[in-house]
Amino acid sequence: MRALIIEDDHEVADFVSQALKEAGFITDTVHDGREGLYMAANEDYDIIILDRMLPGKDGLSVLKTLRSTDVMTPVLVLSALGEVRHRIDGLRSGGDDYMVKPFSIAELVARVHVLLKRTLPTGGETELVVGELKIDLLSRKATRAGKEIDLKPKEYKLLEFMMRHAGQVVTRTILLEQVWDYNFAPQTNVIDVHMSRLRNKIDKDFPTELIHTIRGAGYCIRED
Amino acid sequence: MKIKLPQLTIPRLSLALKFALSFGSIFIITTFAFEGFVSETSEHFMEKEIDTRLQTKSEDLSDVYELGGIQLVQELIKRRTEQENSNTKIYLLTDANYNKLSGNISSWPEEVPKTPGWTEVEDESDTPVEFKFLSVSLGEQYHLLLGLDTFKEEELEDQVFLVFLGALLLSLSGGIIAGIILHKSLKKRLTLINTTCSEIMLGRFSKRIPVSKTSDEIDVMAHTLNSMLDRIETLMDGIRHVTDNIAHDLRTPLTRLHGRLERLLPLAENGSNRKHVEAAISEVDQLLITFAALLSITRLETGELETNFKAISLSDLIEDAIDIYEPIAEDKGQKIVLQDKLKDLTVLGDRDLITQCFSNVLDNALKYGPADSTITIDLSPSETGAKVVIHDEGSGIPEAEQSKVLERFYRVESSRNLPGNGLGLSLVAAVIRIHNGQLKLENNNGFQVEITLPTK
Repeated sequence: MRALIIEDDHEVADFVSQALKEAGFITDTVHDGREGLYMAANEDYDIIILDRMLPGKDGLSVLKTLRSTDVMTPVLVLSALGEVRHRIDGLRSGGDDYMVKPFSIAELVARVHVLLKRTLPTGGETELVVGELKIDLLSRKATRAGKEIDLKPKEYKLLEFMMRHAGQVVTRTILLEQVWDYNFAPQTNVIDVHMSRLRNKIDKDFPTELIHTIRGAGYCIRED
Repeated sequence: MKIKLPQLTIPRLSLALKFALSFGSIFIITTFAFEGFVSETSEHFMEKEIDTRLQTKSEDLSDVYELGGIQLVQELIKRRTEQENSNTKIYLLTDANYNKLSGNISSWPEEVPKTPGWTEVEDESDTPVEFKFLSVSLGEQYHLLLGLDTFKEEELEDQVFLVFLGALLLSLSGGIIAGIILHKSLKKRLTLINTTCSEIMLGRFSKRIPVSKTSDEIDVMAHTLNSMLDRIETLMDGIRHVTDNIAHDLRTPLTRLHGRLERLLPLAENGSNRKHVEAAISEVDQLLITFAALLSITRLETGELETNFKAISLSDLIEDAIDIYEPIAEDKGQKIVLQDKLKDLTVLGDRDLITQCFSNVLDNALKYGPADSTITIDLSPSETGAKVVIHDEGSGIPEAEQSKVLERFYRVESSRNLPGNGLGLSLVAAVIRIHNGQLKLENNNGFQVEITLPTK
């Protein structure tokens, strides 16, 4: 997997680059918009991390130029501008995700994984499986070891999202956005409460845990 | 406590109408006063005129008596009564015992005293007459009575009054028309100023009051107001600019700090080092949340009112909010209850902002409501839009502090030990302001937050 990082702050670029390398990416880093545009257009990347405010050429116009020349590589926009309006601008210009600075590196890596998964073609699967846990996407029913688990609609949605990204770390922010469409952090940590409910239903009566807490990052569903 | 944006209300008695009315009343009063003055003076003048005529006549006849004796006086009276209209002029010459010698009335009238001097006689019978008499003595043996009808003069006075009344009505109707025109144009211009100011209050800081070409007082005022608005706009831009700079200049170093701490995490062994790093990361996260909230409040408060709001279903938003908070309520033994089955109410707004607004209010209700209590949510249509009431059974906020909790970082004394940054309700107020809605906080067997959002 190859990632291009276009970020003018060297230190931030370094963090991102190192974290992505640890996650198994080969990374290229550039510090200005023009150079970034050249690299993005001429090399083959799986993901581009793009800062919104750049010297040379600003992030959003780099993005627009890329999209107008049919470069459809997923782009995660980083910005110091955190308003709803800015987020919408970023997504409208062709961005696939938008992160407000300061962000956590773990969050960035998690989002990159979610983005890559999203851009993969779905195989028209009718069920998702993690170990002995199964959900039927048509009847929206979950079973573990053949035993049906009674889930509320949002619990099902949460589980489905987790299972689609099985083995990946999903952060609380990603879950809020993807499952509840909440683009802000509520004052109380609501995700942990929902997750503990889900755990009660999925893991409590079984010897092995499928839902894991990843400290400082979020959650992951996987068969150990 | 209630936050309300100024509404455009037209006063029942507008300034222009008041102006026109007082102008009209002053006009009527002065006209009447002038009429009174004119009739008073003319009456006085006519009375004097009558007196002079009677005086002159009596002096003429006295002269005739002195020169030619009573014979000549009688001759003269006879000639005059024949020539002149006997209905309006009275001549009577009598002897010492007031017996008629000559004249155009038969006897000395009862109403007139038999002494020399002036007398006025009024007769209110069906043909009203009013006479002024002058009786004089001619020598020792004769009395002369001269009279003049003053009723004609009264009639004249009435006519003068009628003329005045006509003039008054004519000019009054002219005045009313002028008043209405004045009222309309003044009202139009004042309404324009008012509408512009209201729009500016809603955040459209670039709006200016139109100035006409007449350069009258209102234009001068509009001009001054516009200059003031220019100044305010410059200041607001300054605030926004500083906010943007803070955002940009602080975010990058904070990102580095966060990054460094995260790099430290795998290096720190389990135990106290790891705990410190984790605590530091969560401190930074908390700082960021506060920082983001502060920036968005400032943005919302200085920002323009969004015009391209989309229609959003309040009932859906509330259902989502209940859905996400229900497990938290259950953990505390609380129940979230919908007053009625939710009717589908749509408002124009920003989905993310309104969601955040409800989330903050509900979060507070759960936090401050006691364990095993009920949080009630009611959604209903209101005059201006849709009203959402969120009620908890907590101890509420002392009245005196209710307006303060909307200020940034203000926290009620009794709740300082609970987690929170004192920005939740400030953000709620800012979001409602930008939507041109209303926020009402009330202690009502607990605490109640009432949010009204316009449907259009």
